Amino acid sequence: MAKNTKANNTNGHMNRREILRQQQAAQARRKRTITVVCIALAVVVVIAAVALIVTHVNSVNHQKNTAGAATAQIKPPDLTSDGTAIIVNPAAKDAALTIDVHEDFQCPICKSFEDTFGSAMNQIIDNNQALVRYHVRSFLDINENNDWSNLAAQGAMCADTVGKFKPYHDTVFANQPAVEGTGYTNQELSTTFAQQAGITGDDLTKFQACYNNHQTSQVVSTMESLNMSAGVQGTPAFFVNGKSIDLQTLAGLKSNDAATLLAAFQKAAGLS
Amino acid sequence: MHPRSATAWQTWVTLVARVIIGASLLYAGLLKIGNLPKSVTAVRAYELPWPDWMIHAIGYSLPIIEIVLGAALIVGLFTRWMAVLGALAMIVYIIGIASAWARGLDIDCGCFTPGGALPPGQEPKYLEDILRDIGFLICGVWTVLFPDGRFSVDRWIAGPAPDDDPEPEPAS
Repeated sequence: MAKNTKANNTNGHMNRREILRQQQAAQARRKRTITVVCIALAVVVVIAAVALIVTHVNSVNHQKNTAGAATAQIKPPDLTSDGTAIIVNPAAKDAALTIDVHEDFQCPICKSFEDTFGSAMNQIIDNNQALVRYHVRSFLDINENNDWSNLAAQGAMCADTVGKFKPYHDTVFANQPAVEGTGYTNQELSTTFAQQAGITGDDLTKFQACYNNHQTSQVVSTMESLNMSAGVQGTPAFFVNGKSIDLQTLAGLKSNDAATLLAAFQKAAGLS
Repeated sequence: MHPRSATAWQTWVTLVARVIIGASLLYAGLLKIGNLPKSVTAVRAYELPWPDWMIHAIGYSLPIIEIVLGAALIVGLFTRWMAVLGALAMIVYIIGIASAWARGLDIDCGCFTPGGALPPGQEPKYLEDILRDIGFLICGVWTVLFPDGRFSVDRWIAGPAPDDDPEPEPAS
């Protein structure tokens, strides 16, 4: 060690004293190293433990908030056979064009799309110019650290049981809070939005029982995991006859009327 | 080379370099630690051809590793080895971002944000991310080369330096 050179030049007496001094210094260093390593390890263990506990508690809460009690699950009537989407116009099953829309109720860009093209979509749907499937996604719950994508999706699935999927869907997007991550309330999802979507009387009672008992929780979580596994990781996402169409293309359209939107979809599908 | 052979100005540069890369790692880790599932989503967005358990393992452990490396570098504990790991992490991040760029993925790198797939219409900032990580890498490499810096736990462990030795130089 370079440290020794200074002492080595002097006599043996100095050397022994120096060696002893260095041994003591080395021992002190070892002690300090052990102390520091122990403190560091303890800190690491605490951080990891806290992180894992927080993660676990969050996941338990998410489960509790979204799954509810072990109630009978309801399958929405318009669910596709593979469970990845809701068909909003089954009457259009022979249409040459199929439009797949992936949306998460907490996604702000999805709201922009709905605000701009929502009515055009409804015309295409009502005229059966395309078979339209809505893939109701709920992965934003992870980002927002809440349960509102999942719960809004449950509301939409319950609305389908009373034939009001699309009006409910439109109502939720129309009322999406301006600040991303604010989420919705149970009051809104179970009552306000349902009434605005035209669910009344016995249907409202049926809808609320479905929503309050989380009777579509499995459909929602399965729908999310199937679509995620299929590789659609972001929303909004659009597919026309299986081909992806860029939101940029839609945003660049000169008009937001149904004819323009339909033409863009047909072009992307290679139909025109 | 004895670590203390660094000159005074080098030890100051090391302090700055160590704190820059350490703080960036610590900050990145703290942002992710509160929501580990989100960290998994961010890793998944890179669409790596690895099994899901590996994506989960990376997503869960990365924030913890970042915090440990970051904190150790800031206080100057085992500085050289922590700087080696920190620099390696930066190299891995740069490769990851470059590969996402090359494959045309539209993702947020997940470096200092939740990450994940970007909504359409939002352009990824791969070049900025890579340049920033190269900056951190340079800090890391400097710290590997000159690990002895001011105000470090390493210095406290090493005890008083020979230069600070109160004993007078023996007369020859």
